[in-house]
Amino acid sequence: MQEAFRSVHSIVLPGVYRDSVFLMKLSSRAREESGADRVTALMATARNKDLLVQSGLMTPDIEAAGSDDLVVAIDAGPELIGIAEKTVLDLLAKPSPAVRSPLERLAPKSLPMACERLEGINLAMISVAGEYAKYEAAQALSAGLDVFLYSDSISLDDELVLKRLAASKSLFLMGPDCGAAVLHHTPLGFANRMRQGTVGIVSTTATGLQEVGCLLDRCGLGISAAYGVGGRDLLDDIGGISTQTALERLASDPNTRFIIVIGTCPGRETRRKLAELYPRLGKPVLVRYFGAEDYAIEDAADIPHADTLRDVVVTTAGRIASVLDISDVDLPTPDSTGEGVPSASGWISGLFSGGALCWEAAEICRSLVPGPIYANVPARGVEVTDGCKLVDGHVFIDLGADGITMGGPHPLLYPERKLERIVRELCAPEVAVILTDVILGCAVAPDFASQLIQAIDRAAAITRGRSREKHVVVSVCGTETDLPSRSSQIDILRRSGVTVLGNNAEAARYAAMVSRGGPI
Amino acid sequence: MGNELRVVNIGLDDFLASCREDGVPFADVEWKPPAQGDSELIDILFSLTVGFRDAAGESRIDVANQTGLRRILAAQPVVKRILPAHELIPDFDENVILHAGPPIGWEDMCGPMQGAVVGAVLYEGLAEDTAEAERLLHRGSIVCQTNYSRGVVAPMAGAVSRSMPLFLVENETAGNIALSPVNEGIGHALRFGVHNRPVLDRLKWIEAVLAPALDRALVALGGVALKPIMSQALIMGDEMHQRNVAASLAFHRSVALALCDAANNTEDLKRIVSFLTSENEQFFLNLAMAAAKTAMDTARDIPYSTLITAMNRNGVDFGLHLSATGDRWFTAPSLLPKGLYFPGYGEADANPDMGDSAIVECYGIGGMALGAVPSVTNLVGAGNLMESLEYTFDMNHICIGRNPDLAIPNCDFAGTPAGIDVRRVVATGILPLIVSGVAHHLPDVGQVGAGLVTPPMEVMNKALRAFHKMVTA
Repeated sequence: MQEAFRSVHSIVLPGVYRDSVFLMKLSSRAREESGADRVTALMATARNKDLLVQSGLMTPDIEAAGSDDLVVAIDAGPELIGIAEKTVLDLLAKPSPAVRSPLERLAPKSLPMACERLEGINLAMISVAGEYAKYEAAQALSAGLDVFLYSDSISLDDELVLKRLAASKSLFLMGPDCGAAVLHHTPLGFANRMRQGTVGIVSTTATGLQEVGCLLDRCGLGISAAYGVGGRDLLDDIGGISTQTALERLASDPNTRFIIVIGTCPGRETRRKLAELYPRLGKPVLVRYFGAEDYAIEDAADIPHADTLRDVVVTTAGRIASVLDISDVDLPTPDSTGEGVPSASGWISGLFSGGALCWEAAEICRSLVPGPIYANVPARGVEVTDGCKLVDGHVFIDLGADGITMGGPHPLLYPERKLERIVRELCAPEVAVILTDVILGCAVAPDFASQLIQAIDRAAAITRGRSREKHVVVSVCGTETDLPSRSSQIDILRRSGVTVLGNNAEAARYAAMVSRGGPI
Repeated sequence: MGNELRVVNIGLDDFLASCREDGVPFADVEWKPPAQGDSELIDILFSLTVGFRDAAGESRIDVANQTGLRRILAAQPVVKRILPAHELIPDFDENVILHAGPPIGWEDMCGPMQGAVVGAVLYEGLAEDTAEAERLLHRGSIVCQTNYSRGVVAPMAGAVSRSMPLFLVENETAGNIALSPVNEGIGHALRFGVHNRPVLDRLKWIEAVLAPALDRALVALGGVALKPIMSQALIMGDEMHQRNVAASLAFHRSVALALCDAANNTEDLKRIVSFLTSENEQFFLNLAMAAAKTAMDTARDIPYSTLITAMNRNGVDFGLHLSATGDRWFTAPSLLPKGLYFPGYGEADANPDMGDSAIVECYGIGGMALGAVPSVTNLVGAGNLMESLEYTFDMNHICIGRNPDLAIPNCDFAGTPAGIDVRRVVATGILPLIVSGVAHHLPDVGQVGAGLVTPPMEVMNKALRAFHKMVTA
């Protein structure tokens, strides 16, 4: 057996640091260029070491390395190891292509130095690993900056400490785990290029913010500002500290005339507190809470609410403009009436980059299709799964969830894992419908539509065409000003036979119809 | 937030795409994990950053550090006198020899420090020869104490005994003083552990001729202000640790005329002028050290302050004082300097870093101001001028301010880095740079080179942990 002669080769580079996205890109490039079976470069943190053990790539050298060391594991035949090692080292040594003036060479190495370099900094964007990000966020707040904190894996206790510090200094902490915001009309994180207007959004979920903002854009409406507040802000442990800051800012912003609040897992105390606050803002508020059993608290305070992100937009649009063309929101498909909906028996496999979209799709399908529904989001009436093991039933997976990315990059930055999962589900005989999202945005890896088509073709090659019988149902979250534009992505998808619906809720409904074998 | 977005990015470059497109001004941090990824230290840094706030929500630590910085910058050190040590230091007993660095017993001292202490014993006439001096020290009839415990700073081994003349430098702003012996010059010298006859003779000449004349001159002048000299010298390419050519000449210029009247005769005067102008380019170092100490001492004992108020080395251990923790020495093994060696010598001959001289780095000159000193670039192992500018840029990361009185011309006249905050040192992993002479590890050989050295990281971590423990207690 040739396998018996193979062993994992490792390189340890003490004190060398690169971020995880850079290393993922480097790993895949090194694998492609060298022909090695597996190349994995990462920082030797405890978590990453666990990953290496799990994937059988641990070596004594890597075991001995510390979290400040960069390590590379190479799994290749003996003839390729030298080539792979050289490829990795060359890629690491390659200087960045930009011209470097002497002054540019002196990049600030800390936040205080950056603030000294560029006067008047008012926002820190932080996306380093959570174990480090909490300190950087603390420094930023201490220096009087608002913070856009993309990083997750920050404890609830630390989040509370940071948010209290922010509140005490009248600063705004967006996050942790904040994926999108629009400030002064500049999209941050994954946010889309959206029309300017009069609607202010506060959201605990990035894709909730994006879906609502993009659908408003499609109605010809725009946003004044959009604030992400982090996925746990409405838990009673945090008490909506950042949400309140966001609401105060929108209340005092003259450009904002309507306010939309999208929340996940709101605590009852926090909901009561917010229900008292909304009427005092002096501007109409509409809420959509994921994970609230009902809207009794809001109803009692006369706070309007909507059941889907689509309905949030349609309701808001109706209140802003009496006559309004919302036809584009639902993007008619040839069979949206239910007539001629293809029927296929089998499970729905929902694979999402967006947590809110996953959650909403799971809840919609639960009420429409028979059979067990599994999800890695705590949607009502679903069986909770970790998203990794195979289950017998409809499944809805947020591939950007902490438990799945394991500290690795988000699928919107690095869609490789999502695409692998799509191929896997397309090859599974018991799956009839693939429901997925194509999310556009500034920091999003471009042209997911083309990658999705390639994945569908790969699955067809593996299954000798049998996977072509499955239905791939998609909604595209984006605007015409995004790059690539929403319509160009839709063209690519439709040309290859993918069914594209107007929004996430419609796509979920359509997937349910196909799975049931007919109109609802 | 104002009307315009201005961003600092820490992490993914992908997130800067929209800022680039929209022309949002941004600074992108060349980031490394804080505290070299040590989670215990990160937790401490986190706690020190978010907590310890006063009624107004301000960080007590930041406020305390700003207080310290203001005092450091306000210092106006003036050299007033040069007098025998026993006249300046109360209860300086005959059998006491002072040494550089944190406390260390005779038996544990490195070779050059033992050599220097023996030299001081012989200088005082307490023993007939080396063997007898060593016996007395071994027996404990002669005791060793730190310079710091007596308000003295002295370079390298730093041996000081009661008859040796010391400069008295007074910070006229706060009224505090610091003492330092006269720099003996290059070549064989007591501070490098050499105690042969010529070395002891020169010390005696300093005591008998130079010091009385210089003291009369200083008294006649009412003292010589040192900050203006330091400021000038920095512009003339001294950093005042490794290089003191301009500062020494500027000092001589200040006292030259007064010395003419103060010297007993022309022979004495010629010898003094020769010593000050051509034999001893490092003359000013000891004055810079005392001046720095008068400034740094004003930042001591400020509750909650994380400023480093003293750094020194005894050739075995590196010692550190933090403002809030007062007199407590934090120590860790002293490192070997990296640099250039005299012909015939190499790293194997070197003794670990030694001396009280790192007080000048605490003040922001010496290794902290390498960018000001093109001529030291090669000596300290920097590859080129740009690299020595980068050294100073790095030092700005660990300091909370600049000293506008000490401008560095080729850093666009930005002031030298001032106020080293141990939190920033631990967070960035950037250590203060110290330029230093290198002594042979054996007694009685002398200087073998010069180079660049840092404190051991561990001493910083220890100090931060102790500070955290103190403020959370």
